[in-house]
Amino acid sequence: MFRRWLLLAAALGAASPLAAQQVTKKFDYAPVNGVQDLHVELDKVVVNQIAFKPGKELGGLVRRSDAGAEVRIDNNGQKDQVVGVAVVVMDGDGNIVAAGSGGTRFGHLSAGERDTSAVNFPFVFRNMSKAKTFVVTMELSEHEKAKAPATPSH
Amino acid sequence: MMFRKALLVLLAAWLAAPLAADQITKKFSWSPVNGAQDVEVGVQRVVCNQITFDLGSTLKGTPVRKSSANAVLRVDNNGFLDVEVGIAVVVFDDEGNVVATGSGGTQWGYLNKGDRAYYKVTFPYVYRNFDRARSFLITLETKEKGRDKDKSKDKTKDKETAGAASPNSPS
Repeated sequence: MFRRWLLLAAALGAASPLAAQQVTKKFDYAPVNGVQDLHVELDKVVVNQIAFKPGKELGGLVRRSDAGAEVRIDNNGQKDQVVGVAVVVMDGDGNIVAAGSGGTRFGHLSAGERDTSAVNFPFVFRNMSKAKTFVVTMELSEHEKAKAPATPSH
Repeated sequence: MMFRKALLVLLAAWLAAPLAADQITKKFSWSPVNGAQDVEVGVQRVVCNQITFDLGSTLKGTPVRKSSANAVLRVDNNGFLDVEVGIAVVVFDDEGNVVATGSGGTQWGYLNKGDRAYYKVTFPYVYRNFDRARSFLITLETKEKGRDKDKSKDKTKDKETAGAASPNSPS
């Protein structure tokens, strides 16, 4: 009976989605020369700076903009991590004036390493001058190798 | 004299205002059926009336971390002017964490009056907690064709008028 329960529990565990850890923080929009220090930390991985670039349309008939932000991420922990960062900039009325995500494109952010990620705001950018607050969400997923249990040595 | 000064101050403030676009934001509960959910977000007779979520996938067993998760938004221009459209989507969980966000819109030219378009919003880097989605925000941003030109024309005209009105203006 116990074995059945164990199997059922194992099956449920295997079926559950591999959710990632998340943390979210809200900040006042107060960059100096586009740059603003912040602190969003989870499992010793820290987003500690964001540099905003309001940008403008690329010109001609192209409606995309070169607006964006660059976030600096430090992995101060002992494990390699796959990182995702979402940035949502809002005006005083709660309208989104820019939104996007960035993060690890290939592989992982190794333990002890620093990386910068670009977050693009290509289509909603025309009211960035009205920005008042922004939200940063960091999503972490341990690198598969780091997640695998250590095999006993013989 | 006092009236003229006040008028000039008002004029200067108006000239300094940025050439902003029209915007509207609405929040919805997360309740898609087969990925699709009807919504109603409209500004200047431009309406987003459906969003279709695709939770996407990643290339398993490779070092590529980008996801193909996305949403496609159906937008109708029921107005009398061609417009540029920008649309932003932010999906939240119960605790206010962002589980997906991105923007889409007009890539080239305009969404012509009377036309319908589908805009894709991709969620490449923050997507791993999509199963926890509880609500989402849609912001629709529009800018009519020729709005900048009209404003700059008006600005030039107003500058000329202000220059003529000022007693100290150089001849």
